[in-house]
Amino acid sequence: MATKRKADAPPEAVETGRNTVSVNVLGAGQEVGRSCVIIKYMGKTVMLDCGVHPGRQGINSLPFLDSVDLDEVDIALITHFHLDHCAAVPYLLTRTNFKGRVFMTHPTKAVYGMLLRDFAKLTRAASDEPLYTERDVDASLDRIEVVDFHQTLTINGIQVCAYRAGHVLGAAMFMVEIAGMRALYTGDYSRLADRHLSAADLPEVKPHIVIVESTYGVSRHLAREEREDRFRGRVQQVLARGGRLLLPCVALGRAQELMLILEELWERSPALRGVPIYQASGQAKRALSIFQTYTEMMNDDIRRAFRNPFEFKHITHLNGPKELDDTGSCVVLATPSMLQAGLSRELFDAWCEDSRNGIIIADFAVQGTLARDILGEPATVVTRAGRKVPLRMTVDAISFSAHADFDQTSQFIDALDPPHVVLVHGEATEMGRLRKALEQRAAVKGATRAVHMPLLTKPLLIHHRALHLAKVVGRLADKALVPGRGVRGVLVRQGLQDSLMSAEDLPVFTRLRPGRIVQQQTLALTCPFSQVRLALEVVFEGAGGSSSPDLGCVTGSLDGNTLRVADAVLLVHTPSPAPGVPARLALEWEAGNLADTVADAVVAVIMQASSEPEAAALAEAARMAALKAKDPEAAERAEADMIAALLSCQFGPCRADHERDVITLEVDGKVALIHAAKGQVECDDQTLAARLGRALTRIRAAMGPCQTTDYDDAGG
Amino acid sequence: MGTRVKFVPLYGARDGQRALSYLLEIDELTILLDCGWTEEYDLALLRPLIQMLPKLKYQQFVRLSGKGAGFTLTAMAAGHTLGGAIWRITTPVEEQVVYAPASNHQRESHLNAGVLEKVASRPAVLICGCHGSVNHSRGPPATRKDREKGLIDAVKRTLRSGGNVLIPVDAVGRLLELVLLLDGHWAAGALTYPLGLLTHAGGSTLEAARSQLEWMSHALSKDFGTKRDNPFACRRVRVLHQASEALALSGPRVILATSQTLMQGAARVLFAEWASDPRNLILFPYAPQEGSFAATVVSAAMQPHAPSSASLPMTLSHRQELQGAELEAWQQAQHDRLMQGDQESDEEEDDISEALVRKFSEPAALLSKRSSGLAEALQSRTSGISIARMSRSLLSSASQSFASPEDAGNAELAHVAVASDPAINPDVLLDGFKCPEGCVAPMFPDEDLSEDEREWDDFGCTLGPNEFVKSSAFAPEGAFMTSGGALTDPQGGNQGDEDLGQEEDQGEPPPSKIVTLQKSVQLRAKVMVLEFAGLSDIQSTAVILGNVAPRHLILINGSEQATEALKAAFTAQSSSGNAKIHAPAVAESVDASTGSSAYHVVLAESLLNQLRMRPMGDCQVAWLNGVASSTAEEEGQPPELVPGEPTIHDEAFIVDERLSEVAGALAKAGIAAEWASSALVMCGGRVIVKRGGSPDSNDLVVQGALCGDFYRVQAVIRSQYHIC
Repeated sequence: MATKRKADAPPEAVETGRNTVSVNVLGAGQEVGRSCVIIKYMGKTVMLDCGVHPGRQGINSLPFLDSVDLDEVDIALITHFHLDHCAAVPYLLTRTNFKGRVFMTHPTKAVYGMLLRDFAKLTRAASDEPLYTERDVDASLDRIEVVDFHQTLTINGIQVCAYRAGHVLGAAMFMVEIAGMRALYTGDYSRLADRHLSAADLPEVKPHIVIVESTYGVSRHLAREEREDRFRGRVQQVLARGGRLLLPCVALGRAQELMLILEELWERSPALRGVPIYQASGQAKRALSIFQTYTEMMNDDIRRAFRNPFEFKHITHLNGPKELDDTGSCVVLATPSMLQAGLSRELFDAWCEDSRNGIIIADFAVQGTLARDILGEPATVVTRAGRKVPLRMTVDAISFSAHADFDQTSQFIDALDPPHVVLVHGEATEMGRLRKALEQRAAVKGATRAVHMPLLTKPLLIHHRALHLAKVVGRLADKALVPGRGVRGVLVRQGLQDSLMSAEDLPVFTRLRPGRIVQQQTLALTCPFSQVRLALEVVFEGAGGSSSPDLGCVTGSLDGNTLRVADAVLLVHTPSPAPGVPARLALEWEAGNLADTVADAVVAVIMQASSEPEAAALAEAARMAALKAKDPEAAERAEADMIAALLSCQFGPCRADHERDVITLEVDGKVALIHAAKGQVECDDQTLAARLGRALTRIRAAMGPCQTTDYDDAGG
Repeated sequence: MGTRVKFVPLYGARDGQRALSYLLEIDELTILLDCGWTEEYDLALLRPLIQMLPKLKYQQFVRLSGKGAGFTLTAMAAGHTLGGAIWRITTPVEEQVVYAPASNHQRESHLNAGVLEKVASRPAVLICGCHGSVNHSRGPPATRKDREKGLIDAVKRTLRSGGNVLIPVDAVGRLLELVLLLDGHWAAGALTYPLGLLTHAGGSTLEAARSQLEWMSHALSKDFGTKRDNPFACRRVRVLHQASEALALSGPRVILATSQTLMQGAARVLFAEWASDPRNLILFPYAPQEGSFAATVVSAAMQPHAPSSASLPMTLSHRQELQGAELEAWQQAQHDRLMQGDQESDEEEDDISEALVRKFSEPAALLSKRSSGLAEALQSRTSGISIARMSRSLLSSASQSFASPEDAGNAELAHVAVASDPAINPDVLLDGFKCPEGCVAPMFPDEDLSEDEREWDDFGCTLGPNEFVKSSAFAPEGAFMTSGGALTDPQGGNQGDEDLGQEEDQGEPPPSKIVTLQKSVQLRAKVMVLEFAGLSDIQSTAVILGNVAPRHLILINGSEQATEALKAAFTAQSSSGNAKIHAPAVAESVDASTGSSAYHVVLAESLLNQLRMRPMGDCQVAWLNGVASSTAEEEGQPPELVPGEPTIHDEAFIVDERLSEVAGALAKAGIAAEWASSALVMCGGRVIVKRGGSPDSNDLVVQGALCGDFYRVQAVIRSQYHIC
């Protein structure tokens, strides 16, 4: 039962606005191994590499995948087939909620399948809880997609371009572009060509952020010639004294480079011909066929070679450790490269006590592995079985691991000139030195550069000023843009492209078409149409807008059954065909901000008019007429009529008595007198009086807005 | 303003020709699209050009400079052949011009599907080929499985009844698909009938295909991951070099041979031999080029009321080695020429040297870089005897140099050449050694033989007569080694095969002459024409074009009939909309300029935050109300837009053509809708949505009573189509 390992801190919700890029290093932050970097920007999330730590076991060898929401990750880009960059991918695809797409180059995928099946087998033998099985590896292969060098793919708004990285066959650097922000992730790279690989490309577009490996920090490599000479010298030395030479390295990758050198050396020195070179790896044949197939991805020398240089005459492939005849001198290339287990460890245990034997560590040895430990030349080592034995064989480190050294890194950064550099894949002290050196170099050149070396799971927030472009097309672009001129239209976003056009141009540039939404609403009308017209005129008359059309316009047809309000809403009245059947009123308008508002107002007015008692409407009309005629007394009388009409809706028949200026009302035998102008109620029944009082207040308040300013409160 | 686009077909338009070339002018940039020819091209002219061309990958953005500054080219997968491309040219204002003369929307065994539909959305100009087959009166096009089955069945039937199958193919291209299919079938069925590949450089073609896996279909790469063998290992396919080999095989056999037109090559020879036997089958993978001999064969076979066999006149040519009196005459002439040269003065010896250089450096020249040293060395004075010595060493060293690295070979040849004249390089001789009087040249023991094998006599190491015979191991495939009048390719080196970069070595042909025969071949064999052209048919192309919806469509690369058919099919597409269709003839110029101008602006963050993007179709839309900012522009940066004053007219209605979309949106909002005579009815008939207005107008009508449902429906529709 595998328990989830807890991250150091709970997952933080990182705010990534338009101007902030979040770079979260889940693995290989101030360490080497389990590379995994997460970039978040503008709602897109990209994962770069997903490997295991060669010096740790089980769950602890994984990057801190728990500290991010894996189902938010859109794509994962894997740079090359070394285990510390790709070995956690089957786990990612089968044991987590990662739903994104995975990309790698053709040879990377071919070798990944091979290497990880092997790795799964090994871990299954070594522990009870393997990270994943061979079946998981096969399942992951179906989900992995391929990308070729220099191709630019667009996935879900993210542009990805793969560049050659050198280092091993099929190794890539990825340039990720999201909304104009470009980040380059180098993975492991080398800016020098070797026997079969070309040097890393220099991308022609300049990235804003470069996430670069710092394996060799401020060290400088030996020149290639010198390195090869030293290697050859060592080999001959060990063999001359009758010893056996162990070269631990992964079956694929730098081993091919070493084999090319050994083959050439054996070809040139007849004396060595008698010494066998073994490559002890079950994958050798398979690996060879991959190398022979993907020659187009190697350097020009290989491509132009007439005969396939990977056909070795002096190197024997062992199918199993039983075939190894180590009675005399021999050279053995065995896996794994850091002596963790397997054949290389077996041979080391068997040979380490004899001072004639030798071992050359030709690849970068990660801290925590036996290969790294013996470089310190300890007096004794512990074998796999647990025995302590003296270490007498000679140990050398001649690195062929094809990583960039300080010169290559600094020149690369200078050429790209990014404002931000993020260092990963290096041990803390070396990385610190590299950071200082790069900062100093930038200062000398006067370049603005921030060099970061983030810790694991501590997201680094980088400020990036985004420039969002849109293309103005069609008739909208006919007039040149002058400061202060308005540009209004429809913004169409297709993939990563924003275009701005007027609605009429939509059919020209897109598959969209402008259209109209026509609304037709029918209602039953219980009051006469004239009343409706009246009400509409009341509401809309005098209304105006800042722009045309004239909102206050209410026009009618000659037959009196059609009305047009504000030139936006059409009303058609169908009189009642038979008694008992209500008349019909049909509204029609073309949807739009203005027309909708007018239509809503019209419907409200109609509804109010329908529900309003006729007497009230008449009274209201009379009042309007009186006001127009500037006759306040008539207006007062009309108001009294209105109040009477409204009260009668609620309480029962009311009568307005104009001579006495009262409204008489009878409810259940109780009589009440209301003085409208004063707002007083006379009634024996207190409750009724109170109710009437409230009703009167409300009515007067409702009528209030209709009052002209001539009326004052004091007058009641 | 706007982008000026002019297009002129140079050839390959409305003429049924398979060769294509077009001139495209976009503003200041002129592009030559394709530069094709027929099978009778000159490989020697092409070879240096092929080295010069930069190699691109699919979806690699190539940014041009100079007159093309701001233009970007991208090649995308077209299917049809390995590396077949659809080109997308993006102008500085991001208008797109797409060139797709031959593409296949279907996946094949060795190729992925072409991506014409995804190359661009509403490009300004789309130049499309009308290559597909025309009639579909027989119903829907056959599926890939059916076609493959048809091929295999036809082949098997013929083999079982004792007949041979001749499949005329192109040198590379469609050949790969057929080889893969047949080899796969042979392996699966463990068939023992010989399966032969008889093209000019068949072995090299397959070898090159093996290292092009990344260009092929995903299925093949995936298989390569699980199996050991490269998919093009093709263990069941025998690579043959001459028609005689094919004829010499025993039993019924299947031979894939060039050329596809039957105008030249081994296919022609085999046709002449096999056409008269009714058991045999001549299987054309696709309809042959109009006007070719193959087309004549097909039409002869398809005659409904033909007599039992048609009679086809054929002219066959072959090279025959000179023999007897002719050979002696030729040898005498050669000898005279050399002898004449020997007696002339020193200056004229240079002429001989030149002649010798020409004679011997032909093979040397083909050994690329190695030749320069050798040619120079040969400039030195030579005499008759040392010529023989030198030529022998040359031959043996050259054979060695195919096996050993360049440097070793070069050194040896130079060594040999120099050895002929001790004056040039005295280091060759031992210290103190002096050449005896009257000797011609130092002679050295044969390096090839080991110490034990060498035989010595008084004159030095003995030479055997067999050392003067060219071994077959020396001559790689494709050389014109003829022996005894066997039928070979009469056209010599100009087979028209694409060599995929490997050098052909022609060796030194023995003296020969061309002999022409007139033959009348009775066509009794079965003739079949399949559909393995790997091209989209007319109907599918029309649908794809409808989806791409270009603003200008230019039709090329097809016969009259096919061009008209595609034009009609595309016009019938409802989504063709307002596309302008051009179908120019050769040399007829087309103006496909876009009238509108375009420029870029920067959207300020405040403006971007205001936008309410909404998905619509395959894009997102929002209303934008902006005003050009009055702050000064930065260098090289486009003008900036900031939010403008909102008005009541800030809105647009973008209405979908299909009511089903409306139904979907309503369903999502929880309002059930039913269909009734092309209108949507909901809420018990109280609200109806239908299309309105004239067919051209894009109106949506919402009808209803005064009820809450009406407003709910209204709200849903507004949220769909009202952009503000």
